[in-house]
Amino acid sequence: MNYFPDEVLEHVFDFVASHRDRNAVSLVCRLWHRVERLSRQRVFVGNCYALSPEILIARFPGLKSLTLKGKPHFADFNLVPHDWGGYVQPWIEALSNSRIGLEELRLKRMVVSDESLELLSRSLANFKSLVLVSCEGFTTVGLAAIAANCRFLRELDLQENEIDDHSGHWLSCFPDSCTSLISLNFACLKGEINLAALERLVARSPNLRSLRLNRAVPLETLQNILMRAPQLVDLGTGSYIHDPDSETYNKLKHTILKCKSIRNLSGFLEVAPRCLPAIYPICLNLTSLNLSYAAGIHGSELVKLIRRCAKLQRLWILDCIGDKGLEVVASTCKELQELRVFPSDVLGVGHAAVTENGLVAISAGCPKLHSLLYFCQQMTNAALIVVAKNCPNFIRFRLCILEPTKPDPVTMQPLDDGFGAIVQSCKHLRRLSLSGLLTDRVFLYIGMYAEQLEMLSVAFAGDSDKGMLYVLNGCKKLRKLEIRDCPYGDKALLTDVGKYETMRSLWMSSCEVTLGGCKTLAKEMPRLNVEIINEHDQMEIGSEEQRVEKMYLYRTLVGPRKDAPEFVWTL
Amino acid sequence: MQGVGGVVSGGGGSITSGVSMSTVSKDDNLVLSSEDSSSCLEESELELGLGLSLGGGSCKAQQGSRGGQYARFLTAKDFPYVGSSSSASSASSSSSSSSLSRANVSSGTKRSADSVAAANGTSQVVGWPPVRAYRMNSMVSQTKLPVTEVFNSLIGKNRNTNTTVGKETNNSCDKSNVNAKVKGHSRSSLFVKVNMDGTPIGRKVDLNSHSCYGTLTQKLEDMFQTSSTMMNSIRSSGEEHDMMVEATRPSRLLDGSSEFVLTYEDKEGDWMLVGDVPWGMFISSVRRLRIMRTSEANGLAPRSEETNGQRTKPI
Repeated sequence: MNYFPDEVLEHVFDFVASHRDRNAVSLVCRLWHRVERLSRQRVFVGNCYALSPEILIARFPGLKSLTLKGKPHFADFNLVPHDWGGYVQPWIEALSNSRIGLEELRLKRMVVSDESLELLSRSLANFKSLVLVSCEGFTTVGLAAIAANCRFLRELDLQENEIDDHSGHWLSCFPDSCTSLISLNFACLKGEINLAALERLVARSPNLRSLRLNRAVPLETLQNILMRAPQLVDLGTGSYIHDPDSETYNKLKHTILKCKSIRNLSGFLEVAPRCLPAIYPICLNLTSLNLSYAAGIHGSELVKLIRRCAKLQRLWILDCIGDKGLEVVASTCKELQELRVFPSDVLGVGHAAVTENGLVAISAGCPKLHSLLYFCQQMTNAALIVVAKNCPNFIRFRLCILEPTKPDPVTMQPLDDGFGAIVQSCKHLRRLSLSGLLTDRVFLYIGMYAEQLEMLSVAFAGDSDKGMLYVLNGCKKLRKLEIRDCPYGDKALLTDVGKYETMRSLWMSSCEVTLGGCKTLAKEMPRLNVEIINEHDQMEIGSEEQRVEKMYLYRTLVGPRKDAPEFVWTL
Repeated sequence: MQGVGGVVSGGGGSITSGVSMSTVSKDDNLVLSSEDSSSCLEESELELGLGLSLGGGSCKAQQGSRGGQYARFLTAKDFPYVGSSSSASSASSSSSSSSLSRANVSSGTKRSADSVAAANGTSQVVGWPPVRAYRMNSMVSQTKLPVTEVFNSLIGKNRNTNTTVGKETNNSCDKSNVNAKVKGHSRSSLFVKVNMDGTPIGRKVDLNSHSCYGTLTQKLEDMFQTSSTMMNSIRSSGEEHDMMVEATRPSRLLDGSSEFVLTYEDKEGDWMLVGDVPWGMFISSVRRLRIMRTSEANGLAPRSEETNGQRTKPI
C-alpha cells in the first residue's frame, strides 16, 4: 500500500466517511496521516475547548464542514451558569483569516453573537449551510446578515435556540437573486414574520425541501406556501388554527393532497384539532412525526392521527398520549425505531402521564425500536426486564422517572435489576440515562455488561464510591460521564486518573468531591482541564476539604482556556 | 411551612430584623411574607434588608441554603393599606427558584433559566426533570393563566430530601395543564428594559413570557441576583454610602441600605408602582421597568395613608 500514489490513497479514503474511521486511518502511518488530513473535508469537534482553531486550520486545510459543540450537556438543564463560555467568535475569526473555504458550520450549545454571524457572512464567500442547535446570544440582526450576504445559502436551520427577536424583517434580507435554499427552519423564533416576504422566498426556491415555520405563520400562509412548494419533504407548521368551515381550510385540504413528498411533519405549535383532518391524506407517507410541541392535540384526536401513520420510524410526542395511546402506537407503527415521550406537565401536578405499561406495550409491538427517551411517572423492574427481552437492539436508552429516587412501586425495590437487564440484553447500547431509586449494584451491572457504552447520565443514584468505580473500570468505551447529586467523592475521582484522558469529559455536580481532590487530579493530569464552577462565590481558595459544587473536566491539547469567566477556576 | 418574611437568603449573612429597622419605621413598608397572598393585610414580621422575595416566594425552607441571594422588590402588594389589588394575589407564591436538593444552589443566572425557574414554581430541584430549557420555556408560555387565580401555598421541602419534584405543590400561576386549549393567536415578545439603581448595565425582560406579577418579579429577582458584576456595582454603591465592603456577602453590604421598589414607566411617562392594576392592563401600558431604591421612591412608597395615585417626580 505504501507504493500507491497519493491520489489513489485519497480516492480510497473518499469511501471512508465516518469521523471515527477517518481518525483511525490517520493513525496508521505518517503518509496516511498526511493524505488523510489534506483530503479531509468534514471535521467534528465534540468539545470546542479540546483544541484551538489554529490547530484545526493547520491540520485540515481542505476543511469544508465543521461541527462544534460548546457547553456541557447539563447546561441544557440550567446547571451551567450563563457566561460559562462556548463562544464561537474565535473560531469564526480564525477561519475568516485563513484560506479555508468553509461551507458548512454546525454548532451545538454555543454562544453565537450577531457579530460572529456578520463576520461569518462577510468573510466566507462559499458559505452554504448554518445549523444552530441550542445556541444563544444572537438576534434576528445576525440572521439578517446571513440572509443578506451568503449568496449561495442552502440551509439555515435553527433548532431550539434562544434568539432575541427584534423584528421579522430578516426574511426580507434574502436578496431576490437567492434561489438556492434547500432548508429553512425558524420554528424557534418567537416574533412576527414578514409573511409576504416568506411567500416570495418560497416561490423563488425551487429546491426547497425542508421548511419549518414559527408560531407567527398562520394557516392562510401555510396554504399559500404549500401551493408553491408541493415538493416539500419536511414540513413544520406554524399556527395551525382556522375555522374548518372556511374557504381557506378547504383550499388547504386540496393543496395538501398534492404534497405527496412530505415524510417529516412537525410543528402544530398552536392547533385547532378540528382542522387536523386536512393532514390525514399525508399521514400514511410519514416516516417522522414530531408532536412534542403540539400541546393542543390530545386524547382521541391524537389517537386518530396516529392510527393513520403506519410507516412511522420516528415519533416524538407528549406524555398526554397516555399508556392507552402508546398501545395504539404499538399496534400501528411497526416500523418504529425512535420514540421520545416528553412530559407535558413538568410542573408536577400529575395529569395524564405514562407508566411502565406504555413502554412494555411499545416494546412488544415495535421490535425495531433502538432509540428511546421516556419520561414517566413510574417504572418497575418487571417491566424493564420484559422490555429488555423484547428489544435487544437498543442503542440509546434514556429513562426519566419524574420523581427522583422513586423505587419500583410494586416491590418498593431499587431499579437495579431492571436496568441491569437492559444493559445485559442490549449489547450495542451506546447511551444510557438512569433514574429512579438505584444502588451501587446497577453500576456493577453496567460495568460488567455495557461494553459499548459511550455516554452515561446519572442522577440521585448510588451509595458509595464503588458505583462510580465500577463504571470507570468496566466501560472501556466510555466517552462522556455526567453525574449529579450522587455520593461519589475523591476516592472515586482519583482511583484511575488516566481514564479521563480516554474520555471527552466528566461532569460532577452536587457530589462529594472536594477542592483538594480536584487539585490533586489537576496536578497529576496536566492534559486535562479541571474546571470548578464557583457560583455565588461560595468557595474559598484555601480550604481543601470543602466540597466542590460543580466540576467539569475534559481533555485538551491547549491547556486552560483563556476565556473562562471569574467564577470558573481551572485548577 | 410558615413563611418567614421575605428574607434575603444569602448564605450566612441573612438579614435579620433589627439591624435595619432604623431606616424605616415599623409602620411603614411592611415587608409581607405571607404565603397566602390574600392575607396581605395581615401583619407579619418585619424583615428588612435587600430586597426580599415577594410574598411567599422565598419564604420556605431557606434556612442555611447556601448562596442564592434573592432580591425582593416591593410592589403594590406590600402596601396593603393603600388598597391591595387583586392582581397582587398573583405576586406571591411563585416559588423561589432555589433548589432545595442536596446543597444545590440555584444557578439561575442563565437568562432562559430565569424564566423557567420562575415559572416552574413547583419543582424545587434545579435542572429536574431533565428537559431542555428551551422546551420548558415554550411549555410554560403555552399555559397562561388568568391573573386572579388564587395560589395555594407551597409546601416547603427540607432540602435534604431528594424527592422533591413537587407533585404535591401547586403553583397556580402555572397550574393549568399544557393540555388546555391553546389560544388562537400568536404571541409576540414584548421586551422592555429593566434598570436597577446601582447597576450600570440594564437588562431586558420579555413581559409576554409571563402571565402574572409573580413570575415577573421572580425573574427580575433572579436577573438581578448576586453575580460578580452585580456585586461590584453593589460594592461601589456601598462605598458611596461609606460602608464596609465585605468580600462575599452582598447581603451584609446591603444591610441597612435602602430596600428596592419595582416601578414602571407607563405610556404617559409617569412612574408607577408595579402591582396595582390587573396584569393585562399593566402589559398594555408599561414602557419600561426600574428597580428603584425606596429612598428615591418618594410618593410611591406611602409613608402615610395616602392613596396610591400619588406620583413621583419624573425621573
